Amino acid sequence: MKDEKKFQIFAHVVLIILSLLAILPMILMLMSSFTDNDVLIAEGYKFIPSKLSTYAYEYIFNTGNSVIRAYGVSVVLTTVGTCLSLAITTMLAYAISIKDLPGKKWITFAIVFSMLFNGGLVPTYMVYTNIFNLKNTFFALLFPGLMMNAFNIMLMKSYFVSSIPSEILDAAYIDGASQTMTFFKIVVPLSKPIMATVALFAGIGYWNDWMNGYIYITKRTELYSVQNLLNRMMQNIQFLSQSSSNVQNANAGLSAIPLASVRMAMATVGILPIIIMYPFVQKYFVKGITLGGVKG
Amino acid sequence: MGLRKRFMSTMLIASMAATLFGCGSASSDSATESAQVAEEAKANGADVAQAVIDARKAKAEETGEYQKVIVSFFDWTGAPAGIDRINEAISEHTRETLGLDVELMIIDSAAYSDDIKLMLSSGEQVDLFSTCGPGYMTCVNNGYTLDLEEDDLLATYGAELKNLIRADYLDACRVGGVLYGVPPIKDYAIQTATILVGTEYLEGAGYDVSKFEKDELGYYKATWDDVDEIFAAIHKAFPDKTVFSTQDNLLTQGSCVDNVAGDYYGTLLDPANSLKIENVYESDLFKEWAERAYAWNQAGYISGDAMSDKTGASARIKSGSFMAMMSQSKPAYQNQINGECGRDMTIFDVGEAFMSSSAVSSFPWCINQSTEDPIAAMQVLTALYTDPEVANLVCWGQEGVEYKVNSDTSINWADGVNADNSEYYPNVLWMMPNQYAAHVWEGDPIDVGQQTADFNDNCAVKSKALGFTWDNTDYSAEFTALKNAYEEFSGQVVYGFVDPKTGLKELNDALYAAGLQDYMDAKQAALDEWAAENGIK
Amino acid sequence: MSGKTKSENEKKNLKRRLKKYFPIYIMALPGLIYLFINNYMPLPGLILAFKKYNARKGIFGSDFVGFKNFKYLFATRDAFVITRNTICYNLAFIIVNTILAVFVAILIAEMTSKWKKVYQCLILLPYMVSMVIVSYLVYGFLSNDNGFINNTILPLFGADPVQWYMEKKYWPFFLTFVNAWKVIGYNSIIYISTILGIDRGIYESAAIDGASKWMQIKKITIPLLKPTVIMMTLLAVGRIFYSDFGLFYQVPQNQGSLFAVTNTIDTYVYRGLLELGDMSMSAAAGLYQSIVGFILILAANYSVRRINPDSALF
Repeated sequence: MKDEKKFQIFAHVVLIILSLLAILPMILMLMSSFTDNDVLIAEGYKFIPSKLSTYAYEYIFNTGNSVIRAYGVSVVLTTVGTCLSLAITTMLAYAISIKDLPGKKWITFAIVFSMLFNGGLVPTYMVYTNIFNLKNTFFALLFPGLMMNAFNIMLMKSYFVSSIPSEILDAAYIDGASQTMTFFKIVVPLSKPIMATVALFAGIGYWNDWMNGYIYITKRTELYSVQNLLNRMMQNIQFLSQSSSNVQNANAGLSAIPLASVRMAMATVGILPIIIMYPFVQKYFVKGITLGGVKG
Repeated sequence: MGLRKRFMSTMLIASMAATLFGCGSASSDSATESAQVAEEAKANGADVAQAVIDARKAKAEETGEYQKVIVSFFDWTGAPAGIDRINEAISEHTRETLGLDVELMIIDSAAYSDDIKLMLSSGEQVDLFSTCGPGYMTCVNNGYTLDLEEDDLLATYGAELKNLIRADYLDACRVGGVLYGVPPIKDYAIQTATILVGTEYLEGAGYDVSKFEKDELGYYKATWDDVDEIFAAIHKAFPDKTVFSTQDNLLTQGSCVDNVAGDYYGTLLDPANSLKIENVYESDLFKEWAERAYAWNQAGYISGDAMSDKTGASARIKSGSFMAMMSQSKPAYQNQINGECGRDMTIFDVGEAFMSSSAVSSFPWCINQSTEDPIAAMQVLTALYTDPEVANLVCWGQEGVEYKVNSDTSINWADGVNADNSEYYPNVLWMMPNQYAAHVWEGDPIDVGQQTADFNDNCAVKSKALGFTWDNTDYSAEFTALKNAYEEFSGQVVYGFVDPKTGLKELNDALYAAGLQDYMDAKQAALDEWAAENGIK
Repeated sequence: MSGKTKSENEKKNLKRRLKKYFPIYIMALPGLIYLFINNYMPLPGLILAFKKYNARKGIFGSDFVGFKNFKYLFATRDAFVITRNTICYNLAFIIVNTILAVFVAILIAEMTSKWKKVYQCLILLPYMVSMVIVSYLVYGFLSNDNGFINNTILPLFGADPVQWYMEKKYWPFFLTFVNAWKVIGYNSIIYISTILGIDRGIYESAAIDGASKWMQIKKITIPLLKPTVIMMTLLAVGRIFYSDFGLFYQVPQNQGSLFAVTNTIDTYVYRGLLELGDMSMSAAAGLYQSIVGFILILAANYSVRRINPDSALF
């Protein structure tokens, strides 16, 4: 038992150090976002700035596009996307984890192959816009690229193979349980850790994505997700500041945008909800999977 | 392996078929109809352009729906809130004048370059677009652009446009003799090498500027020696502040070196008099700059972070810890730079006015090669340049909603409207086809259009290669290598962190190893051929 | 004779299995359809790598130019440096990240305190920040005049300021550190889930047998993590010719004097294509990276399968 205690203390010490390493730069980011822009440029990024300012946040929350609505889009997108992603990933991964499934090798190969080769941006764009007409719709944020990836499938498959004993599955089969019943009643409950992991990964993927909005949303600005909105704002003011020699007199107001502090404020705005929601989502989520498994 | 092969090829064929199937977009018959009407009118000797418009109107009456032309360009915030209202207002007018609807598709600058390329590649409807963003040569090389003189398109349906733009400016947009775009009307010339110093710092140092004469734009005429003297004075008076806010703009804004064909790997050092391609990085001009920058750095005028700090030069001055910068200027520059730098700046003109070979063709307006109705697109393009009503709507929005007109015809915000809450404020006047067809903003001279035209005409150094363009796709390997070599070795020279003796040698060795000579030879050959074709010596 | 019966038996067996697993195929179908649409339908676009794209002719109608689009990847004196950098960094990342992630995962998974969730969340946070932001944070630490290290840390030790952005020798370490800092939280989650999937009974009986904590970790946890480690490594090997553009371009602030240790295939290509805007050339670069990855992954998978068939990808 003494052994155990030593381990626990050791683990705490190491993890505290690692956590500090992880969040110190985050604190720097947070502090910079509250620093006056001119001070930021003149004195650099400081943990304790000489002049505080909330102007960067005022700028973000006051300009044209609504950040609040963008949060809404992101939450809906992440929720729907995560559920769909988890469902199709789990089912496909389970299929290729079955040892004697005919064609298993080809399916696995096709999955890994898809991870290595892709047709490129233009062909993908053409598939989704010309064939499926997804442009300027919510589905354009949901489907392209994010819903399933080879990495998550392989991860899950590996868990199924290593952590679910095939004897249990065989026993269920002999007992007359159908394949679907085995999946929902045995596999899903036994796979909570990996399902939570894959869901988390899919969720992060959806929350962080700005590329789909960037490419597929050209007209309906109400479909901007938070990351997409922030990314656009950031790139726009960057571009604006670079081409300022072309901007006219009447626009002098625009060159006053606090680029350096806004950049940091935007990053903070983008991840703050995650820090707040992470524990709740985690708790709720594990419960959800348990229920799903029981209901079958 | 055989099985795998078969599997893959089946996949490929299936998906290829699907992709192809999807591409065959339903084409409307408006184009063929326009062409037919035009043929008939031509045969009858009638006004062809008007006949096409009448035919469109008649058809719209029949179907109750107007044909639509989509115009795309970028702004800073994406589709403005009032875009539908503005589109309706423009269309209301163009239904009368042209018998069609116009839709502005405004995309934010962040996404425009990618979005427009995707739309042009995938066959979506975009009829007219600005090449500001993706770049004119990229668009031409990728085959996105329509030959504007095909079937006399410009002469027949854009006669007014053709008259409006000087023939040599149109010629400047030709690629291989073909006209793919029409330049926006703006200032093409720049006043090079303008040194800006915060007025408060000059005063604080007790530096007397009255000894300088003023140039034709009203800025102080100075030499590099004067600049050294000024820098020394303000450095002494404000030792805690950094003197010079750097950016890598010596060649682009600080000299009359012509970046023929869009890059500095092979340039014209004396563009007004000679068509000889030379390596600018071996020139006296660059060497002098390198020595100057090195001296400044040694004297402590340049920040130790100059190479890694990517903050804009004017933003650093605004922050209060930097005092001077170099830029280019133009008429009516004072207000703008004061706003950018957040303080009153004194402008010293060290260089000359210069119009480079690519100044006019940097971002022309083009017609999509896959447009269904080139005639309608050309007519809308012409309206954008020549119809004040259309130009005002596109540039400024609706009168009474976005802006109000003063007694002298200049305009200002409508009551209660400003840059933040305006529903339509693209703020890209310099990209607009013809900003001078629209109102002038209060504070700018009413005759700013004329002033700009004069500035362009009176430009001291006008490149002989004006209008020369070169497709460098065959030398993309060299170009990529050159770009990498330049970025690896240029910063330390341009910002004076290395003794020019060693720095310049390193840079040039790397450039030649990357294939500079081949690249310059190819450029020279293309230039000679172009010059012979156009009778330029 | 016997061959025939064998194949007949096999056929029968196959039929039986197909019937048995029919519901499984139905379940896999949505994923397979998605895979087909998302990954395989655009695939013919790869042909662009061998063409000179022209919108007038379309992707399939454009002229073939053979391997011309690949030339710029090889016809340069930088080819060696960028290839070396890309491969070496990836190998370093694979090794460092795996060791650290497994280490962190064991600590978190074996921790009994409620705090473990907090640690996990905090360590994951850097993953959520984009590389652009990271590049400014790094700049906040390393900047010459205003940086935290030059202004606060080095004076503590009485050391002279260092021009970090000019000194090549530090950057392999910085980049490896930043990369690990960013992804450790994410990667460790993978191993945590695997550890949580291990039957606790094994540990209990080991504890009863008197195995120390260290022995339990060494003899139970690590061997059971091996298949996941192998799989992760195999997948990483497939991407060995790719590099995180943000890490190598933005974090060193595109600093020329550091190119010898920061230039990778992706950053090299980017500098040219930014202005050339040539789709065929970017397709060629992508295809080159994919094919090398594909060959490597097949080779690695083959050797893994010979040693331990269960750990192989396919």
